[in-house]
Amino acid sequence: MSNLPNDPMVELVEEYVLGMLEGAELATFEARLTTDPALARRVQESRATLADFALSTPVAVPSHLKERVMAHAVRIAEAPAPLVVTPVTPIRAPRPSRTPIWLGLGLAASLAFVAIQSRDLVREREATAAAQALATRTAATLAERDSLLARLIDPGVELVTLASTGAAKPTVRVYLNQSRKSALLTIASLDAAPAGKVYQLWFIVDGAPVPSVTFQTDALGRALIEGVVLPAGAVAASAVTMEPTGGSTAPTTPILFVGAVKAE
Amino acid sequence: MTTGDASAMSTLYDRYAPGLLGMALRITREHADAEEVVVDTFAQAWREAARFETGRGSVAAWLVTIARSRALDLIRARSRRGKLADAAEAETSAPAAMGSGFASPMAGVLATERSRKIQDALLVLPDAQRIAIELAYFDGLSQSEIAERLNEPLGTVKTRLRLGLRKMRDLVEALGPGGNT
Repeated sequence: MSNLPNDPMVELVEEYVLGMLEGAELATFEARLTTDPALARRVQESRATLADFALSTPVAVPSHLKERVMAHAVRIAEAPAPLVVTPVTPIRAPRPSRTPIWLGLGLAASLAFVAIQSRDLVREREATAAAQALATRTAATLAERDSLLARLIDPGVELVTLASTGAAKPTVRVYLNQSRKSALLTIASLDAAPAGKVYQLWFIVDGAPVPSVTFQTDALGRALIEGVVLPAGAVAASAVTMEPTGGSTAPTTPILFVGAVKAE
Repeated sequence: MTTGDASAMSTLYDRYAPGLLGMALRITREHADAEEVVVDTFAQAWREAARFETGRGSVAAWLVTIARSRALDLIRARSRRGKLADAAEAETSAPAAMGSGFASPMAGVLATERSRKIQDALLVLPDAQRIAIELAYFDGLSQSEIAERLNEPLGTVKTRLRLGLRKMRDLVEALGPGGNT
């Protein structure tokens, strides 16, 4: 059992929750977690402690941030209508002192304590309900993913991985469907273009570059661009350059990534 | 999207955004990056809500885990882009102590009674243990990197992390059930 004082797994709980275990040690620990409820509980307690620790210095949240968060969620769900946010009053009532000031008010203090515990329970239930409500919306997101997956595994799709011409090693992939004249673009580990610049996709048709979409990557260097329309003619290759915001009609900078479409 | 779903996200945001932003700011040391972390955290929570299991941990721990991972990824990417000099400059003006709420003078105003108690409790931790935990948690350093940074043997760092976190757990548990978790 993991509650034995000298259990080596218990000695690793702190390193595990801090993300410091690696390799075989990590695999052994996680395997043990699946069969040892006491160890799992200890991990859960340590994670809760770290959460308390991490959240113990709240700061003022700028008013625009909530709008960004909610808008982002809407984009993920691809909801057609603008989001209407229902105002929710933040719960910030301070917890009263644990020590009753007047001994004669012991009963009142006890009642207050019960009320505080109930409020904490209500808070936790609200948060859990909120998380579970999010879960229900995930079904819609999954449906979107199924649709995306269907487009990717269409027999007519061919994958073109664009190789970097520089030292960096981002990943740029173009999923071409020439029969449907559409493409999907995925980017990973690509630093965002600087202010005033964007990345632009090009298709090479009859030896000439044809301008396509412009895009930017997020803070993690990722982007997903769907519904890219292919130009008329047979696409022989794809390329990416960095262009001024708004894009260009012809490349103005060296090619950053390029990949040829396999001949039929 | 129904109004109820927006309310669910709104409730989570109202409750956790100030704490998450404070944590992200502590890690990234830049407001714009910290805000990006918060946006990404709630976006990921939205996408992965179906995988959240109440039996395996609290909502707070789930969100914090996501946010920390995002923030550390971001500073590692920034480091790769050679912006370490900026971070080092910011660090010189940031107090090392977690409980000092470096991010904003508003921190003291926004702190809940519980978070104040947690901060007070953390002051009981020996500095060596607290600093080791902060370097591991907020700077994402490995044990070897912490040992090198503090010029201490690796075994000493391991012991400090283990004892410090256990003591922290005891202190937080002594506060009773909380609003965060």
